[in-house]
Amino acid sequence: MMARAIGTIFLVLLFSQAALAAEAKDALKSSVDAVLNVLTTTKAGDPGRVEKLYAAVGRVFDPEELAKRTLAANWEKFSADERQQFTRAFVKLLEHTYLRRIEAYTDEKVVFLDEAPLGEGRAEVSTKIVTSTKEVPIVYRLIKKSDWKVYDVTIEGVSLVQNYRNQFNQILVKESPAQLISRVESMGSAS
Amino acid sequence: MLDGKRFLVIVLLLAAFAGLAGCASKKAAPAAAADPADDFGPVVADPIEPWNRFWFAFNDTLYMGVGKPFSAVYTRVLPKYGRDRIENAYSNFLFPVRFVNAVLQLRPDMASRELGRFLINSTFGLGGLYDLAASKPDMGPQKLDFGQTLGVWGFGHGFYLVLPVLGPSSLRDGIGMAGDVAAQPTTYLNTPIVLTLAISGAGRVNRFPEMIDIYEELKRSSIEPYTAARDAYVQLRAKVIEDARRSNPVFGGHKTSEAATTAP
Repeated sequence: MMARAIGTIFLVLLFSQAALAAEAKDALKSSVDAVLNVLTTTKAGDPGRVEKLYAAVGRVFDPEELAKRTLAANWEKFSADERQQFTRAFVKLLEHTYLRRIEAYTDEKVVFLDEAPLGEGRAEVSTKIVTSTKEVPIVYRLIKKSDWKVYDVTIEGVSLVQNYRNQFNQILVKESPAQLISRVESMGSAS
Repeated sequence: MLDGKRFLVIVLLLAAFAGLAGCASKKAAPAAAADPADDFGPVVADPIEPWNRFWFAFNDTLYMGVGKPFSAVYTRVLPKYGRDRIENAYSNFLFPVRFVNAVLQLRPDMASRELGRFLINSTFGLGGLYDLAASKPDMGPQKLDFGQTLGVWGFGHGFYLVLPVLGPSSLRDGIGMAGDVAAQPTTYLNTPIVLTLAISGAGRVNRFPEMIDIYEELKRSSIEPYTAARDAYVQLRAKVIEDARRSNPVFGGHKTSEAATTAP
């Protein structure tokens, strides 16, 4: 056990040496650590807990980039006002979803794996959540702006952005951007 | 139940001749996006959408009306520790299914890993209650099913299919599911039907609470749950097949369009 722990630490050191440019991973890790820290030091319902969680997550997520990517080519059909409204509504929906998911967190471990470049200014960081009976691979895609920001999360191979993109695209075939926005708004406030 | 499954096999096999062969080589053609990260990912044909939407709604009522209250009671009666033991034992019981698929995918490495896991967990793991093998590196559980095997061989989904009770599937994966049932030990060992039902029932019911959680999460986070579920299913399966292909020296060479579109 001890030997393995030392082995693991050694491996981690080795990898961090090898990947000096693992900036994306570091940015992500510091945010995840901050989230875990809030989760372990506060209890559900504590005052300020939700705000702290949003702050920790917000540090590494890029909501505008996420919103824009879920619309893909449809983004062009949105007016400047609609883009803002949509982004706000979508962020709210994501916050609700994310918060629920994170509140369900119990004893799972988050393991950081490798970082791979995805062309200029982009990288993919692989992680996994280890539960008592299985492992769930979660891959984050980050883009370098002023800092590294997450623009997509892939759970078990299912890309969040792609999933929303297909839904939004389906809706926009028949409905206007304003109608889509009101749908997103109602989902974000429903839960 | 078994008769029902046999019937399903026949129906699906017949449908296979009509659909699968033709669709295997058909390319899913997402509109070329300016940004490679802007495409729609793997897609599936959905020619029987009204039918699928009917069963999607039916399943929703079933999951929320019966499944959810049942899960709430079940998880209270049987704590996580107990559910984990059942999950491990059920998974161990399904060893032949994974083993056969490893062989069909021409993967001696995966087959021997399955065999090793089965031997260790059946003995030292007390009949599969404990997954001791997983504590060794490269001996963790593997994903192997017949739908995946067909995908590795180059078959596409055919079309999207929402199964009553079971949920999202496709022509290919429905056939795969029937194949996997056939590879279950209780199918070819002369076991009483009661035992077959008890094992499959316990194993499936035990997975229910988690499934309900995932389903509810999908429903609450999506704007169009039907599309969200279909897309999630197709992405999930594309990944399972892509992973199996990427590490496969025999089938890795010729990627299908389906596997290729999941590449970043």
